[in-house]
Amino acid sequence: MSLRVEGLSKRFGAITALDGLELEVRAGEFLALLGGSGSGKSTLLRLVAGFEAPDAGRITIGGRDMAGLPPQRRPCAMMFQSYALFPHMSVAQNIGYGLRRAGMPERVRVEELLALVGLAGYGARRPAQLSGGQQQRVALARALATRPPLLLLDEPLAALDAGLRAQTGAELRRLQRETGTSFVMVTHDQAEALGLADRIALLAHGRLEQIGPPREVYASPATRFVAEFLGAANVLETAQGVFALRPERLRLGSLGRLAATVTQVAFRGDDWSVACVTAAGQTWRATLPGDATPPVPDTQLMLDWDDAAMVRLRA
Amino acid sequence: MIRALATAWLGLLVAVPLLVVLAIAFAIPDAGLPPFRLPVENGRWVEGNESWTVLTEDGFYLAALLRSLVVAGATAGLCLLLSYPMALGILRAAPGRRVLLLALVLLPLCIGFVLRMAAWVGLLRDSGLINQALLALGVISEPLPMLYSRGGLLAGMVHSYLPFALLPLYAALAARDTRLEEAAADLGAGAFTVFRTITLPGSAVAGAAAFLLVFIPAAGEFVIPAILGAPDALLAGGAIWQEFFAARDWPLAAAASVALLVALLPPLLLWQRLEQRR
Repeated sequence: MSLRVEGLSKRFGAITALDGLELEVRAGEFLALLGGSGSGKSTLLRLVAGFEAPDAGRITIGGRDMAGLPPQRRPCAMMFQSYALFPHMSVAQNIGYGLRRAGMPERVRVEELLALVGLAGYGARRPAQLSGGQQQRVALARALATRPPLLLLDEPLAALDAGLRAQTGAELRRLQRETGTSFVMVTHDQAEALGLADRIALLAHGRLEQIGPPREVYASPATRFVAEFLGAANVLETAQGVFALRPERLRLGSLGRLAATVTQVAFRGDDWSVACVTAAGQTWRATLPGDATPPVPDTQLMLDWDDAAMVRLRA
Repeated sequence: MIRALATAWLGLLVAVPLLVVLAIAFAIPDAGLPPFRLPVENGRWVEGNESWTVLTEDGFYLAALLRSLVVAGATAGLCLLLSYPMALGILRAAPGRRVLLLALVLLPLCIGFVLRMAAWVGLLRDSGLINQALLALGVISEPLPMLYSRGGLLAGMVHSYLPFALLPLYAALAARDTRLEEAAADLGAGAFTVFRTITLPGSAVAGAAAFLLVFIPAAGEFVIPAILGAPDALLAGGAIWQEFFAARDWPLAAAASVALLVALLPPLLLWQRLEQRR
């Protein structure tokens, strides 16, 4: 089901969490909401779910205005970052909670969901008896139980360790495709957003900076914020305007356009991250393939790039 | 050092008085007042006083004990019933206002106990405020007998004991994870269903502890029943008081005290276990 947010604003005291946000999520789409802390991404989820009321603006789900509707009457389900599993209920009771409230048959559907998330036979356990990854899957099964057309996920992978995160992310993607549910996933992890979502919406200061497919947003950042947030691009201010230059498009060598001193070299497995500082004091970042020979810190070198690699920014 | 002090304190002010009461309960009264002697002759236990026989065979004392437990149970139940909405209501207020609301709940404690009870008498008696108002409005033609009734007694008891239930319950509810309630609402539960299926079970241990925290002292209460209660429906506290100060039968009074204490031991142990589980 589609979600539409128009001119949405929310303030908490002196803090503006959302500032006239415009956003559209298509039916059946996996949208990642990407932004730093305080960007308003979690507030947006809470407003859509109905836990908070907006100060201004409109939220429509499947064309229906959500104004004044309490959470229990909204056609969306939320998966909490902390999972919010009911500790005094068994896994099966947790998953069946929404079904019972809706008066739907419980037993068969709960078994089906347990199998769907790979927890068949775990129904009688208490949440406290499960590992973090298992709890995460119970939370997902519980949110999906009544087949809500829109699922809101608040940092669903943040509490998992790195190995489990990639695997669970792929499972999320598979479940989303199989169920045809619209997913809106809040994350601060750009790799997660780029790897899982159909489209990425970047939020900063309660406003939408850019929305588009991962490749488009990555390759053509619209603003300085997007360029720096996604892939930590270098930003050049020239007479012609402001440009972004991806660290992987920056060449280090003995010939080039700009002299710089190497300040930091870090091996990251797949690649090397090299930081250089120019005479003007600006820091430039470059990435080199993992099998390349990195420059030695404190040596002088020249920075070079192709004009085609420069992406013009709005601001 | 602190441990030794605590042990000395407990021994001197709790254990020793209790042992004295226990001794008096078995002692033979040569005169109506102490000193009493224990029913021991030549190092052997002899037939003591008749307190325990009277206590178990005269229905008067058992009835008083039972009435006390019923009144204490009703008081604790009503306190709990009032504490839940009050605690949740205060917690729903803005953080800055919560302190003010809690202070208002505790304010009656700052007024002298006797004064508060006198105020209840003024409210409840036939010529009191409530009856006068109802008569003036024409709702009733005869004053309602509220003073010295079970309802009047419960009003005074609940008024006095409410903070003992409210404060621990408030503390437990303030520490709860409200996201569980949001999750339940998100899954389709209305406000009452959220309370019934999430808030109530989540605070059951704290609720039971709050109930017992009122029940235990309320069962021995004798001042409030003496002022507001019916004179013919004596409670355990009143019966003990009467034996000590009116009938001057100290052994019987001591035996009744011990019986009340024994009756309150199970709830006391239960309360301690609940506190450990929290």
